[in-house]
Amino acid sequence: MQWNGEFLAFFLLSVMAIGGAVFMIHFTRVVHMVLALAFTFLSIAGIYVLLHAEFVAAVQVLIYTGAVSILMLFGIMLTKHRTSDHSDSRSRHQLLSFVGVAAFFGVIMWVIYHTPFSGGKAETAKYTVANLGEWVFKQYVIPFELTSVLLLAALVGAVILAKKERDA
Amino acid sequence: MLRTEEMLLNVGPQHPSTHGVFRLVITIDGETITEAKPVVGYLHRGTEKLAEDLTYTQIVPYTDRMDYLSAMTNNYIVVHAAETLMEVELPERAEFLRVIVMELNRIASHLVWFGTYLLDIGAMSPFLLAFREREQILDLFNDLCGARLTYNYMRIGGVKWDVPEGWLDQVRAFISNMREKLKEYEDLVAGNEIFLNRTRGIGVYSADEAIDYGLSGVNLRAAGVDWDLRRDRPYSVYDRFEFDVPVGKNGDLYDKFTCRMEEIRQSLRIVEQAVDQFPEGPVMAKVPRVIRVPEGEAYVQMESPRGELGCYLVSRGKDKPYRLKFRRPSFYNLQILPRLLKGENVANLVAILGGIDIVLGEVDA
Amino acid sequence: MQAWMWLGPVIMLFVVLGFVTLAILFERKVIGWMQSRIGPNRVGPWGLFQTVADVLKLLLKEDIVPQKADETLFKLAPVIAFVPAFAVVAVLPFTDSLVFADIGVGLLYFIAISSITTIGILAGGWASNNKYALIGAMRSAAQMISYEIPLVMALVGVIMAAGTLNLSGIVEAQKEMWFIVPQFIGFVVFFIASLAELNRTPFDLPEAESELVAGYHVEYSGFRFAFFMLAEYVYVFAMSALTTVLFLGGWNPLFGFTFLPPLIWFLLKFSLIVFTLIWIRATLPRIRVDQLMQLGWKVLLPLALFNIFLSALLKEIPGIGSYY
Repeated sequence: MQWNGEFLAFFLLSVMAIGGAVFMIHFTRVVHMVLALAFTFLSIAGIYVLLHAEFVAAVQVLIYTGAVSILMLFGIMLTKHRTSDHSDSRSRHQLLSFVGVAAFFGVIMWVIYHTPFSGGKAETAKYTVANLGEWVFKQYVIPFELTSVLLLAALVGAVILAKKERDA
Repeated sequence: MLRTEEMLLNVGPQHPSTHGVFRLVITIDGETITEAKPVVGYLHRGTEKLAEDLTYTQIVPYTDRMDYLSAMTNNYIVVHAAETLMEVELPERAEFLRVIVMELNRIASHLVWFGTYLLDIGAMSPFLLAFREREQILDLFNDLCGARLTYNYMRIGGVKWDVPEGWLDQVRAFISNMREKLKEYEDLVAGNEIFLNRTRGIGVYSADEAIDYGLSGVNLRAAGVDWDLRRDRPYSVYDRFEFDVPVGKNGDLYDKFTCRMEEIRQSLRIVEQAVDQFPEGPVMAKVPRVIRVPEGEAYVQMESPRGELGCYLVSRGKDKPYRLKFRRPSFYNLQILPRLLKGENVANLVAILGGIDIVLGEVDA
Repeated sequence: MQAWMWLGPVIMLFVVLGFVTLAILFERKVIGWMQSRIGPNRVGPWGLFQTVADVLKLLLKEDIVPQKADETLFKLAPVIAFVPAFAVVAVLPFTDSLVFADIGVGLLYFIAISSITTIGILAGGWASNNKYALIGAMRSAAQMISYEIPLVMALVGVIMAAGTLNLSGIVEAQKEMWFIVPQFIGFVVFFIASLAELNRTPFDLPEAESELVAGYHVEYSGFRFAFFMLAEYVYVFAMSALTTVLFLGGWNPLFGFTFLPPLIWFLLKFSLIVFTLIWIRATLPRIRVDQLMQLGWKVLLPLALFNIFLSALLKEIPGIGSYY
């Protein structure tokens, strides 16, 4: 492993992504949480750029900023303003969570170390937008169309549900 | 359904669209208003009480400050009340001058409404265009009585100043100019799709409701009630002029807009006729130096730009009124606001409030 | 090369700031003339330094943070709003040689990065702890998300015709015919949606002065306020440049008038767009928030989809197919 710009960038972005996630859990106000989440998403987009997946990075930013804004709106509208930060003093509860999280961490690490990742580096240069488009619309066109139908069904379903509730 | 948090919002007393110091406490759910409570009185100066300690001539400048956009009509109502009790015979020239300045003031007032209303809705240019034309009226008044806003022009028995030389020609020039400009305004605004969408079918009330709430002026006529005091209870010399009373159909904001625009046109007609028939003679009747109004009571009413402006005068024969009460149209027109706002969008709030056309100086007196 | 890499963006920052200074003056002058006024004419000849003086005033003003505001977020929000505004300028090709980052997905990058500003506005509106600011911020978020969809959809036609997401490539594809002609529906949808994205009249609801006092930046003063305004005007710059690139053929000359350098051609078209934006501001009233949503979802989006369909269909017709 060598200390070049790419590694440095990867290191920084990873720290930012993980840091954002940690803060997201740590914060008590919804808006702060959502912003920390946005920070994580943007850092991940940065990692995509490092992997020469500019298209995915751009789409990641495009989709998630919208999603984050919406989430923030819901956070503002559905929660009380200025909720007092009531600290949780149940230490037993905290201990239990710590044990649970530690166990989960152990399991994950164990799995990672024991999974034989087949070697061989991917040739990132050929993952251009044009190639991506060709794959999606030629090789994977059926799953792609199925996904779009699924999303459409979800959309229509949401509208119907919302309408029903309003009528009731 | 998901319950969203309701929010209490204080619109005003300092807010660009309340046209003065007016407070509106609204409860909003998202952007929908569930309740609206108007709070008035920030500009209360006790005009009516103050009047009890003032001689009749001294009251006139106080009335300037009630409806400051139309000070001439306020001047008129108080001198008209005193003259009614005193049974003064006014010289014709004074009556004609009064009608001319009142109608010009009505145009100026409607121009301010037009400009600020469009500004409320978000268009900037009409405001400046309307004030450009209003400036000409103010210049005319300036030449006539030396003031641009608080004229203090009328006296019991006539008016303070006769017309300066060439003034009537300036008025004529203004009339033809204003007619042209009025077309320009309508080109700019009346056909605009966004404007139509924001005013058609918004803030609707029926004719019965309008009467129940005691609305008057354009607010009443827009709902379809054909009632104009200048024509139906003629005062001064209004019975000598030909003019139409524009009446709306739906009682929405668009009807109010068209009514006011048409009223400007009709006022121009009245001024034109008055200038053409302008008589010679004195502008003041023979009245005593110290005016003592004979004992009695009188209620006089007139059509101010905002509606029925009334004055109830009780005199005990002194040089000061025993009690003076103004029926201030803005105050009465404002009462329908909570009913109109309920269930409306926040963006419609300013449109509806602006449509009523209140002047806070008059609401609070 | 190294020096250029560092100096270029700095120069660009000053060019953009210079543009903002001039654009604000230009806007005030043009609107002044349209409203039979003179416009600013006191500071410097022809009022040239008016904006400079205004910015200086903002810089010298006391920095006020409301006591009940969320201080960190309140201070962070203008930065979140401004940085993306400047970051999008990087991919704009002004001529075939004058472009900072010629990345493959330039168009998507522009759209994606510019949407981050919404978060800044939303955070600023919420952190102010002011109800007007909150409503303004919520409107802004709803508006930007709703109009991003027709905006991107309107661009699909252009992308299909050019066959690339690279902005330089898109300009190259307009050598023969500017996309405004074959993609006229796309242009109209894009232009309206971009007005909404820029929060400009008739879509200036997030800062609707007569309703929300000043919208999301009601509590901001001094330099933080300047940052929001700056972000807004940098977006005017960027969006006008993008419209020029996408629909008006970028630096390609009209009628083969090549005696003017490409940069001048670009600036001419660019100024035309900026002027149109100002013109619209002087003319139209503000649209209402629910009508805004209806326009976006029920008119612009179907139109944009129809445009995609039409473009795909016309592409197959021999003769005119080469233009699509």
